Amino acid sequence: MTLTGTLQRRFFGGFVWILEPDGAAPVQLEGDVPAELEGRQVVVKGRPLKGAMGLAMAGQIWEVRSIRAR
Amino acid sequence: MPRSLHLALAAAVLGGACAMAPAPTPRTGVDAPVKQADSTPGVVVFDLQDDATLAQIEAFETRHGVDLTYSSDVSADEALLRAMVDDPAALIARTAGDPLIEVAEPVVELAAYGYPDDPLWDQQWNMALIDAPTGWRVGAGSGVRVAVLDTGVTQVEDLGGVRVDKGRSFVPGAIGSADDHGHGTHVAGTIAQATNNGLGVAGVAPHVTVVPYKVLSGRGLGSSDRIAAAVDHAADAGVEVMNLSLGGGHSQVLHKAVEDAVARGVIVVAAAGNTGRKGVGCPGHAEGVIGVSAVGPTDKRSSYTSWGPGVELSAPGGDLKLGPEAGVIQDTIDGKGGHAYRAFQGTSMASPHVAGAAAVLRGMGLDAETTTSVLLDSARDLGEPGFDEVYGHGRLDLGAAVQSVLLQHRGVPFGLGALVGGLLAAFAGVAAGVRRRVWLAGAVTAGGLFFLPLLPLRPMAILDLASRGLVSWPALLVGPDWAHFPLWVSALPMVVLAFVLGLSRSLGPYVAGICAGFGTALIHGASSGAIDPWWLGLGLDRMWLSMNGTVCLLAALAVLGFHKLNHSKGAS
Repeated sequence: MTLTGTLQRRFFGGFVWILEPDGAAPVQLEGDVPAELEGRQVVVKGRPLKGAMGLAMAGQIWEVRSIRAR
Repeated sequence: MPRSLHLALAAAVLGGACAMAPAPTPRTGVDAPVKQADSTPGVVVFDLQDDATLAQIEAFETRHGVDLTYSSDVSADEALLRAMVDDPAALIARTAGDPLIEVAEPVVELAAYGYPDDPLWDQQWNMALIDAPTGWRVGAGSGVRVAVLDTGVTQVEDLGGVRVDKGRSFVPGAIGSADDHGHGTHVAGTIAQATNNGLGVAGVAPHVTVVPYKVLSGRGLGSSDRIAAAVDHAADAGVEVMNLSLGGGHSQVLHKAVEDAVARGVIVVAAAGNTGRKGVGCPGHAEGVIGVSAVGPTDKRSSYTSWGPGVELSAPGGDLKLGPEAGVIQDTIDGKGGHAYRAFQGTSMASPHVAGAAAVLRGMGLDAETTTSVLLDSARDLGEPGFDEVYGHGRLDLGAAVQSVLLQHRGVPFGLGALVGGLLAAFAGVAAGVRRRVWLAGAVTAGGLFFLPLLPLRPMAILDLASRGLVSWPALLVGPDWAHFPLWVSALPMVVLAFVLGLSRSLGPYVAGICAGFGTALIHGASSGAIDPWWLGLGLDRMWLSMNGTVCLLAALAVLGFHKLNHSKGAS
């Protein structure tokens, strides 16, 4: 599955990557995310981690398979 | 009765209380007096419109003849300014109605007589906001077990004097419940940090027992089925309060687990989430769970907080956009084998304030249902008047909650105890001196000296006990649920007392009053639902309390009748 949106880094007791798709609910990204993409429009390929929960609570948790600037 | 005997009786009652007390445990929050918040003379704070320009602020100064300065280095964004004046009330009245003002009020500072002595206390705006010091005047969660389902808990330096159970891990590969992230220890600190120990920071309920459940890995992730298993385990283990500062997905299994825990009498508190949007996730939105949104130091919704159906309360979660001092500070692991005081933000930080407050109220002998309703009813209304989806019933106010319990849940039985004791004595027609002792003993037995925590007295365990009605003593001495032990909330203790001491000429009137007060408390407990005896349901609990309360009143009458008979014989 592919998502596009703005990549943000947020701090909730630990830093997490958040993808804010245009007009849709944010998702939390888990996996390798290059720091230089922060604040940029990105295309993410991945899948939702079913049953996953976390401390960030910033959206559904997705596993990142690949990520690139848009 | 000679005055010396009155004093001896009082000493015996208090001494008995001491003898019944459990083995000494670390009590770190009740060692010094606390001065309540006072207005600082001559300082008014103005929260102006956030988009107020410098020119508008200068015009405001000219218009009202005041000189404004920003409250802190980070107050420009929020347009938070203070003015030094001779008469704050006059200035507030003079500026009322100015369209630039959102809020104007006298500056309130928590001036404590060195209490608590935690050196970073002045950075804990969050504790002052919920008025935690008023809560500490009546207790700090003694006997209450609070499960923290998180990344684990490590007993860092400032948690050293706090009771932390061994706990359990539900994360594959993790041994024990130690924290390998920092989040769980921070959350546990907000609930129970050692307070007034000369170290670091304070917590909301420092006398609770923390029961750590490691359900999130060192990366801050876990699985819903294992979290649900931990919820079941904690409920089976008999914890009174559960904190879940986690979420991010939906799970029917976890949803059901938390609802089952609530149905079993556990107070479940959960973070609303950090999406900054409408929509509270699982488990915060489950029925009966107290979902908590976050506010910053200015009592405004934090930008990141989730909101919507499921939010029951808001609490301090911090807002680091305003600067590091606007975060919630606690002691936690530093990732290098040591510890550090770190400022975090999130609804994860808001939720444990509510869990700690719930523990304080449970420690006062309230059941889960009453605790929850008191927390919601006493919250400070924010946002739209009444309930709304952003702040729920309002922002947590532990001070108001505690005072509400003292007045409504103890003051009423106190008054009823005095009334019934006096009526019984009058009905029995005993001598005037005896009558006074009866209603006095009845009042104290029924409601305790409920007003003691409201007085500027040095907080002590014995005052905590004296401020409770006799019915709720087991809650402090053994644990909150023991206030509802059926053989205690029965006529048995009073019938035994009447037979053993009721016939004594000097003690008899007191015994009659105690029986009357105890009986009144049972009947009040039946009508208000404040007492919920174990094992009994389907209305049998109320019947049990009413019948046993009546027997207590009859025992009081019998003792008084016996003394009237003796008085008449003596007179003739």
